[in-house]
Amino acid sequence: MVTSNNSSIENATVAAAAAPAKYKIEIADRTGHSTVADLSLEEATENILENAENKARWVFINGEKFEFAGGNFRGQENVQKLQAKLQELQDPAVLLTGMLVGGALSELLTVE
Amino acid sequence: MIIPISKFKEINKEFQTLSKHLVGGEININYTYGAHYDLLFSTIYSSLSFKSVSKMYEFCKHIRIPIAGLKITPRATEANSQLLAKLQDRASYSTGPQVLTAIAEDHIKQHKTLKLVPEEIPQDYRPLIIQSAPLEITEGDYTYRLLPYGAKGPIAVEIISRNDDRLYDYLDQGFFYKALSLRKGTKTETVHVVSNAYDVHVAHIFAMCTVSPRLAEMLQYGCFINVHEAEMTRLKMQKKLSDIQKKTYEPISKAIDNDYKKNSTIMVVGKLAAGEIEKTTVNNIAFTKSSAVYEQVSVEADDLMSVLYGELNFNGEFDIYTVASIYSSYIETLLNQSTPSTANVVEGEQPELVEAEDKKALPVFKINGIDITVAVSKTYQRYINDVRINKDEIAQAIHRASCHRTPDDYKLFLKSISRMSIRWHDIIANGLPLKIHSNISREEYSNPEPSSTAPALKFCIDPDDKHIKLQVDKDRNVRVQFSKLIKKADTLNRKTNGKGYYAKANPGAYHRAHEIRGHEWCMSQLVNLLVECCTFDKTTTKEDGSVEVVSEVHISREDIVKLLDVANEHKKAVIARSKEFLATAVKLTNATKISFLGKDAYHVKGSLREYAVVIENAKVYDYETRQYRCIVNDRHYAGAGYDDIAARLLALKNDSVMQNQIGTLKGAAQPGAENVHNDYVPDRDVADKIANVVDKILIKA
Repeated sequence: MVTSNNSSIENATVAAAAAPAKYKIEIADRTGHSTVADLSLEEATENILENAENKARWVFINGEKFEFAGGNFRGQENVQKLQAKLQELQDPAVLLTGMLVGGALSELLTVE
Repeated sequence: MIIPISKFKEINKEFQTLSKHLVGGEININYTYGAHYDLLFSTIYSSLSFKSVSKMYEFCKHIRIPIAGLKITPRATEANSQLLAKLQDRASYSTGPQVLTAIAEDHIKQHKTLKLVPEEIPQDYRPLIIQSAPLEITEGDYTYRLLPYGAKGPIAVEIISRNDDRLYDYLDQGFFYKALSLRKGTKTETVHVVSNAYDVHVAHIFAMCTVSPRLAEMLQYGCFINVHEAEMTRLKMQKKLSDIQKKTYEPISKAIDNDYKKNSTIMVVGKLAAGEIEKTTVNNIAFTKSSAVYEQVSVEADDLMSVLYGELNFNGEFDIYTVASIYSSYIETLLNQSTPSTANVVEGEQPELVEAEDKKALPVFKINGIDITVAVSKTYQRYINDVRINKDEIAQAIHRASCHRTPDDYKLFLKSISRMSIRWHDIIANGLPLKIHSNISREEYSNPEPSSTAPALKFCIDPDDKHIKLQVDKDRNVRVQFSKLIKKADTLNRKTNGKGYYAKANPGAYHRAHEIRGHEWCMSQLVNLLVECCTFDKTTTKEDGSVEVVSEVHISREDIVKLLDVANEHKKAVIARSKEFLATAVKLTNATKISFLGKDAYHVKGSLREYAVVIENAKVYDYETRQYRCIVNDRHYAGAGYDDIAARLLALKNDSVMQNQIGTLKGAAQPGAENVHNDYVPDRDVADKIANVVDKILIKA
């Protein structure tokens, strides 16, 4: 019986290790927000990069701002950092929000 | 103007050649700058006078003859004068069709010789069609044919051909012509190419001759493309093209083949209409000259194909219902032209009518095998199968026959719409759509009618008092002036175009507010409209016998709010989704809901300080000092509903990182800027908003 239990635990561990992680991304947009689920690491990375680079969105992973160093979104270092961040977290919550700015400051700059 | 002698010699040489044929005229030496800023000279001859047509013929061998100011002097015969008058007519585009013109789709119905309508083929590679007979004049022993053409500048005689020329016989109506420039050393010659039809092979030959005019030598008499031999000529010509010429020709060849694919369907249909073939199938619809059948749906009429040939785009997407719709509209037009009074009928277009008792009927046709007889009475009433029908709904009533299987069913339908119009039936069944939805698109604004996604007022027929009523909800119906509401709703929808206008000034005020006729304007107008259409006069007789008329409004404020609430269904869904997004952000940032400055807000802790975000207006404050910190949406911000709160909570939680992007997070707060962005009105729950709109309008009224 004990042997049998161990065996099933082992099998479960193997199965869990074999299944690739799936990611979910929530994106703020005109519909309230859109959710993209069941993404592979590569798909999630591409989606995040596309939104950050071309759709002016900020990336928050588990509530923490993810910064793209040097402003080069698709630089190898940034992509690796992003993928490492996604992989190190268990079921990370990825939220992409619209950008904000310092309002009064921009007003003053405009006046000047 | 300084002209180099070498160039002047060339101009002079040309003048010496041409002047032999001229009596008088004007010459304009023009210049343009070449690629290396060198001067390129050209001569324009105008207001020319000739002694005779034979001189014009000789002159036209070299260059075109402009028609403006053209004269035959000193003695123009009567025939000459007539010819000049005809040419002047062409020049002023005042009468008759042009002789030479670019090929257009309409020509396919007039000229059987046109078998390919060019669409993708570049203009420079297309011939012109000789649309009407060339002008002819006999002078001495010769007859001349003249072809005026004016698309590339002032109208001019493009070509004159004499009856002993090879080209003469081919310059005929329905033939195709193209002039090509062939360089021979320093000289440029004009080569004329004519064909007796224009099909895919002829198109290739014209294209190849344009690429290399020298190839025209391979044509019959060096000028004529015989369509029956065109395929062979095409193959021979293709072999003669050099590699460089092939590179130029290849894209043109592809364009010709593409045009051919597009044209093949219409060619077959043309043959069907002409009776050359019995049947064909297009878009899975089996067509004969007098029928169109798709599965169980059919349209049969003697003139079906001739009607469809002119009206239906056989290359486009269509189905059997499109066919039924086109034929129905045609019948309606025909019936309107055949009213008993002939006052508005164009002569010659009076359709053939069959007298039957007091009505005149059009020939019988069938839809789904149901015989349909459309008639008009002497008193202008329209009838379908002897049932009187609203004159504006004839086409629709005919078209709906395609939804019925038996004559009895259709008769029942006709009787039903005879009592109450199709429009009323449709509105009772599907509602009356209005442009009041918040997610209305620009395209919907530009269309006078609302789209199928627009919210609709629902109606029902009350079986007890036999009135049409407005459905507020499943338990409450309100009596309404149905006809008036429909008419005014149509006007309202048409006016709601998303464009600005200046509203009427209030009494005593000079300022006229600029407003937008958007969905919100439509909603406010609808409030008034509903009140107006649900108001009925009630007449009561008092004890003293006097009559009192009292207006009763059957609709309440709550009813209107409920009715308009559907307009924001989309917005409600958006806000509900944004609340989900906010809930995730609240959880991730550990934000808590508090009351701050008397308003609902979220409290969030950052690394630099603690903040409060007011939910109503998304304003950010330092929690401890209660001072405003100016943070606004970027101009590229994409979000809706409560997304702006979620974005602020996440950014403030990460304030130390975010201060590089949000400068106002650095240092002290900016209380002085608290009201700078008061114009920002975020999307929040909408139920109250509608109630406010309704109240505002009702109070005003």
